[in-house]
Amino acid sequence: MKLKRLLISTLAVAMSVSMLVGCGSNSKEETNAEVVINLGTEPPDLNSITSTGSIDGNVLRHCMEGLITLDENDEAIPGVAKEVPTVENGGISEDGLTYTFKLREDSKWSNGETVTAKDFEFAFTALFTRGTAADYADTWAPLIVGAEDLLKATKNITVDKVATEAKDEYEARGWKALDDTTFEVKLNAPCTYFVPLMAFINFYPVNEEFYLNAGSKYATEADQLIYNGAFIMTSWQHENNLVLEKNENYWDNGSIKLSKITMEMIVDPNTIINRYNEGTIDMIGLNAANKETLENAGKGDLIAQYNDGSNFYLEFNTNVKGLNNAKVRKALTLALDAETFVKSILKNSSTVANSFTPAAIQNGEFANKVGDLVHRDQYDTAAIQALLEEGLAEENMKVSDLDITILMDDGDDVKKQGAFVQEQFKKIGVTLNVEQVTYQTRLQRMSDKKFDITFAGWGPDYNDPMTFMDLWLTGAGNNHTSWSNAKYDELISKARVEGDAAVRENYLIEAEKILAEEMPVGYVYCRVRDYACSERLTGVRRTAFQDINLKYAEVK
Amino acid sequence: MSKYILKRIGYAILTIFVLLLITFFMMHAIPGNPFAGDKQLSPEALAALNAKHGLDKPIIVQFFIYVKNALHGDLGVSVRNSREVTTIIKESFPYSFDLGMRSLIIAIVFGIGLGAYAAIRRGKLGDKVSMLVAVIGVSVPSFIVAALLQYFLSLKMQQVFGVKVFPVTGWQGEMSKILPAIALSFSSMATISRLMRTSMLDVMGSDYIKTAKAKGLSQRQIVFRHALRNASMPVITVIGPIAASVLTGAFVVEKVFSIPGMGKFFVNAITQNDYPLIAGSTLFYGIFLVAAILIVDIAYGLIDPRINLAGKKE
Repeated sequence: MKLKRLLISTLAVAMSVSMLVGCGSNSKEETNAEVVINLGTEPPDLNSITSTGSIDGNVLRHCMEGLITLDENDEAIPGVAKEVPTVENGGISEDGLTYTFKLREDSKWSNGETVTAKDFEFAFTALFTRGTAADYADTWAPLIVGAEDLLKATKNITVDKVATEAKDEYEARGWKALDDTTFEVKLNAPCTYFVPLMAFINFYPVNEEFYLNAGSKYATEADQLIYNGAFIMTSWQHENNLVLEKNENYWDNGSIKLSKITMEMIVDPNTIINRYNEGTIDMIGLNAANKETLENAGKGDLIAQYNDGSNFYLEFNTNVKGLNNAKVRKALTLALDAETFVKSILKNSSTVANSFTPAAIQNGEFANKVGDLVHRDQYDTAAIQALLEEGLAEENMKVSDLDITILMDDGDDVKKQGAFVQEQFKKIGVTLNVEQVTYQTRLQRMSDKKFDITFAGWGPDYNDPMTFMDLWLTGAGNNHTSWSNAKYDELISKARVEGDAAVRENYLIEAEKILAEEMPVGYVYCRVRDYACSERLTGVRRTAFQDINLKYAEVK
Repeated sequence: MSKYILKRIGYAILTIFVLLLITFFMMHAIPGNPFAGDKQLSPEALAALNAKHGLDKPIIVQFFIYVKNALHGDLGVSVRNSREVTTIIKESFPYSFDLGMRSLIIAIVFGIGLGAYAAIRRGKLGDKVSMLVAVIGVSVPSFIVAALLQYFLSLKMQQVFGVKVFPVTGWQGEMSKILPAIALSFSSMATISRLMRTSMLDVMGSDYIKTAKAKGLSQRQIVFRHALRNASMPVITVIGPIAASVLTGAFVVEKVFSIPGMGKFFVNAITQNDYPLIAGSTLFYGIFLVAAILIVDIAYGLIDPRINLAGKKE
């Protein structure tokens, strides 16, 4: 009798306790964990292999996962790989040329299949097949053994035919799935940034069967993709919005607090701020006007900034008379009061650039070591003018002989920028004409080198100074200046194959110094972007390499 | 009549063909290429992209391939996002059509009403006010009208009165469709009302109206039974092109209210050098416009017995 009573009371207690526990977790689930943000525009290409854009990355980062992911400092942490490969754990060979990634076994595709090393192997193969026409194939190919050869051998060949029609090059590829959970990559030279590079979208896994079945429709609709990330895209209404919902099969789904993210594609700035004030959107980007509106409305504490990693500069055509002289270029760069430009024209929190590689790279470590190479404070107007005249004299020119035009995009904002530069140059006696053309025309003119000066910018492809420094190699595709410096080229080439991080860094610092002495490009600013979150949304991560990351965001 | 219609359709097809030809060559004459971006592509990558989208062939060959495919209903694939142009149009057109239809009805009803009212109250305050509204409607750009409506009637109303009548954006639920339709109807309404006023004045001064007045009909009977119908004729001619323009997408209104219609493609496809989408949207608009004009002409001929479209000698 006593035992029976004991059992009954124990059971009763256990039941009540479990009910209470159940109540607790229920109320958590009932909390509205859905957010709406503005993506800004329709993502042009959600095929991780061919895409390059940050808009695409903003979507894919939430629903796909590569070998590596980035933490809040843009540093490598394990993704599908069980751990970050290092020399100590054998993931990187002593000579720095072989990387072995051991995959976790519980990373699943949304169709139920497990993500295996073969999915990474296929993604790499598709990337380095010329028929896939991936924009960035040539950016990554020099790093990996066999990539350039495979690209050369696969003109007009698509990935389904690679193994047969480019057999030799395919067999000689430097990326292989050794088994289901081991993926090996061989590099041509040591690459200090290779591990965090594996977080880039081009290296996301792609399931071969799904990809080939989908054919030309791959990644054009929500159901033409499978997902292995924290969220699954459940709906994609083109030009309107897309919806991501929590992936219950994600290996780390316990850390994910949001249940649904709706990404709107609102373009008009007035509409954006109206939606925000209506309370129907949780995160928006802010242009200068909208930032001011919010500040005036007393909502300044909801505004945040992040360094998006891009820099902007005057690009000089060194073949133009006068602009072939470094002193002239330096004088013109100094003449542009960058601080006023940022404060009065951009009206945002961007910073003045005094070296080429922005502080967003490696959390500013590199930029700190490089330091201020421009020394704007040492030059007043008279000194700048003297420098200009000195440089021009070396070319047998007077200031009045300098007849230059700045080539810019069309649009009112850009017009203001052009007018500003014009006014600044006037202060040192230089007459600058402003020519506004369409975006495509500007690109064409830059490519044809038919310009004097233009306003250009660059965003990082990976978290290493090299993504900025290799721009100015002789004849490089994005080097429209026609500037060529043998010592600079030599330093970059050496840095490209140097395995010792400290030695490599010194090469790049020396290169920065040469660039600052010669100034084929005149540094202006590094961009900092403003955005606003609603009061209920926290935990948003926005960095140079994770432009929007809501993976660990939550609703208060 | 049927011979007339067949002849017109024949001309229409020829017009569309010439339109397509001119568009095709013009779009390839625009500087730049669809793949150009801030980051330079290697020549090999550019060649691969051109090959993938069939842009490596001579333009005249591309044109004939395009026409051949178009006759089979295949308008190619957008260079920008690799989606079929027919799918893009099929998905976005219903929104534009819905928006356009609503705004057209508003424009016709209020345009005719305002114009007729102004004519009847000619010279008086009613006339002056109506025509002022019309001039404002024609002069104020649609992005200002749209932005003002959105700010005051949608956002401010919510903030001040605490009641959400119109949502700021979107195209779901009847209330979200009202402000965009009004914004879009403004300039068409203004055009129609001014035309209607002139036409109405013309009709009101004619002999048969004098007869009706002499017969003892009331003002109301004269206007609604005789004058309106006859005065509407010129307006119908104008509705054709207006309808074609409004039903195929309104770039600005759709942008401000974030409606996923067709309007943006006409502008964006050109700035992005997205050749298949330029050709496809131009073709679509061309067919629509030609068809709208044809329908209006036939309707005109049917409504007004004095008009002999075929031009036969009686």
